[in-house]
Amino acid sequence: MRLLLEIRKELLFSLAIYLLLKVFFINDIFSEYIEQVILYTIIIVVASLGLNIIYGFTGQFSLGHAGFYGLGAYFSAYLTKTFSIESGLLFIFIILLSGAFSAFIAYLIGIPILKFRDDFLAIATLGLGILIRNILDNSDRFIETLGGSRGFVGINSLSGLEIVFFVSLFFILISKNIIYSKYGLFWRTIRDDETASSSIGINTTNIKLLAFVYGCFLAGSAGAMYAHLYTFLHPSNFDFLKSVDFLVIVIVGGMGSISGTIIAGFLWVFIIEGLRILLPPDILELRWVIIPVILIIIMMWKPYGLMIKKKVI
Amino acid sequence: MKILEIKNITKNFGGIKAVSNVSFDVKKGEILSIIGPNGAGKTTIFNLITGFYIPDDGKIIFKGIDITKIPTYKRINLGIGRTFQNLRLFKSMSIFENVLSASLVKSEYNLLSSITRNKNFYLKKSEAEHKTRKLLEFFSLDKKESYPAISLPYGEQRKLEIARALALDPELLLVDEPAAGMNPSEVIDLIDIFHKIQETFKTTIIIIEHHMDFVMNISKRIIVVDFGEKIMEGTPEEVKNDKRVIEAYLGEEFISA
Ligand SMILES: Nc1ncnc2c1ncn2[C@@H]1O[C@H](COP(=O)(O)OP(=O)(O)OP(=O)(O)O)[C@@H](O)[C@H]1O
Ligand SMILES: [Mg+2]
Repeated sequence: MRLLLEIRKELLFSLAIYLLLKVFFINDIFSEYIEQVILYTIIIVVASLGLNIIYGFTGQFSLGHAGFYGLGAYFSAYLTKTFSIESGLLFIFIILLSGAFSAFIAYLIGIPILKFRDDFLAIATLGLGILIRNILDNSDRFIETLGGSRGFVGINSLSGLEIVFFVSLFFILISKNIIYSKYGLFWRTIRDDETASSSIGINTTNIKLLAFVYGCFLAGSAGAMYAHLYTFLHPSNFDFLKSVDFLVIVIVGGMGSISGTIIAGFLWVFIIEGLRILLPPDILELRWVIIPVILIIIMMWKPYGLMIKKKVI
Repeated sequence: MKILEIKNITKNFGGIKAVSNVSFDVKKGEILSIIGPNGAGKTTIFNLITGFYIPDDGKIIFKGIDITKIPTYKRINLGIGRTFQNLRLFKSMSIFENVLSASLVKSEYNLLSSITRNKNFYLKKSEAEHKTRKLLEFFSLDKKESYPAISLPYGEQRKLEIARALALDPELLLVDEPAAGMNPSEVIDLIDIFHKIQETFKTTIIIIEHHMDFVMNISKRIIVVDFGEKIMEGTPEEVKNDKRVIEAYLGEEFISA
């Protein structure tokens, strides 16, 4: 009960946003394309929040976040296709299962790597990201359905407004509760000073592992929602550049800021998609000149991210 | 009663014998000082006790338990707290959070109760906050609790680090050069604080310090190390008049102190 009381503001606010979206969606005020972009953005926010926990809160630089996002996407699509899952309730279960699958893989590679302090994680996750991309490219050789480099087609469209919105809201609220508990505090102490953290008796390996595994759980779950939004998957959606997208969102929003990740996630997708609408097709690729310029301006204006007022150092 | 037994510990770094064959005991409740010239191996001894380094040879027994090779966090949770010579506060965090983080380490709630926020969560949370506040009051840091840790003047940062270590309820507290960078009046304050800590928390304390007045004032027993070896052990009087000690410190301002 106290929990509901504590998060009532967030809940009411979210409910209002949901109702607003619902009205827009029902009355077809948005085109289907815009509706998709909105849901996609929410999904991207969940995955980015995962990376923010790993990197922004805990200071573990991961370059393979899109790999875990992709693992969840393919894993979930395989399951819903194989078992012809169409019910929303079962799909929610599949989302959680896909998150757990990514988390499990993260756990396996995290155990040997997170014992070390140096930037092994960056290298290892970079390698893992490339590995996952290559496996996906050749996935049709061992499981025909996955489609390999042709892409995974014919996935059920299950990621509607309700599921995406409320599942994501659930993830965000859970994350918030963990962040504002001793675990979140230990994540931050480790980011600040790992040696000092172990000097106060924190099992730093475990706490880093928790951040990594939970962050990848969010990535995998987001991947599952993504797969059933666009109903088509291609390995190129989960490559290194996608990982960089997530990093940009975390850094622009502010390391260790939940609201920052949400705002930056929306900003990022809306700028990319907005330019797609604004720019004539023949100069569309100018996006990749305009976007970096926007990023540079943002980072000059708010060097520590949109939602971090100022760094104390 | 012995709380800590150091038995013939040795630690080499490449060719450097940072600590060689050092043995000593620490009695429950005492304040023991370790002195010695720069590079003598004092900090290395702390790092060996807390598990940041593992000795090449020898044994470390804490409360009768062999802790020579166990990981740092386990030793700390057995009841050892420490501070660092070069201050290691959580820089981006508030004064309150610096101490709270240590108060929460032994707090018994799990991930699930963090998520569901059950009764136990709030109970443990307010216990830790209460303890944190008490400690900050003890060190007169409570008025500034929401300031960033690094906004404090140097002397108070040192106190904050001690407060953080005390939040672990350590039975043994290791303090590495607490008076470094403090002005004389702060040093006098600090002597008071250590006496108060000993009274209030019944903590056994080992202090590394260059400041001679400080050491003589605070401990009845002193260990002197030089070039990694323990060269003597005795009361302040004995140490002050020992030839080997005077030689080890020759050229330093020790003799004048
Ligand atoms: N991690 C390390 N790697 C290599 N050498 C080290 C390491 N730690 C300490 N040493 C060396 O071991 C010796 C003892 O160092 P230590 O820091 O224990 O001395 P100290 O007595 O604390 O000196 P100070 O009074 O200057 O703090 C020094 O020669 C130092 O350079
Ligand atoms: Mg030292």
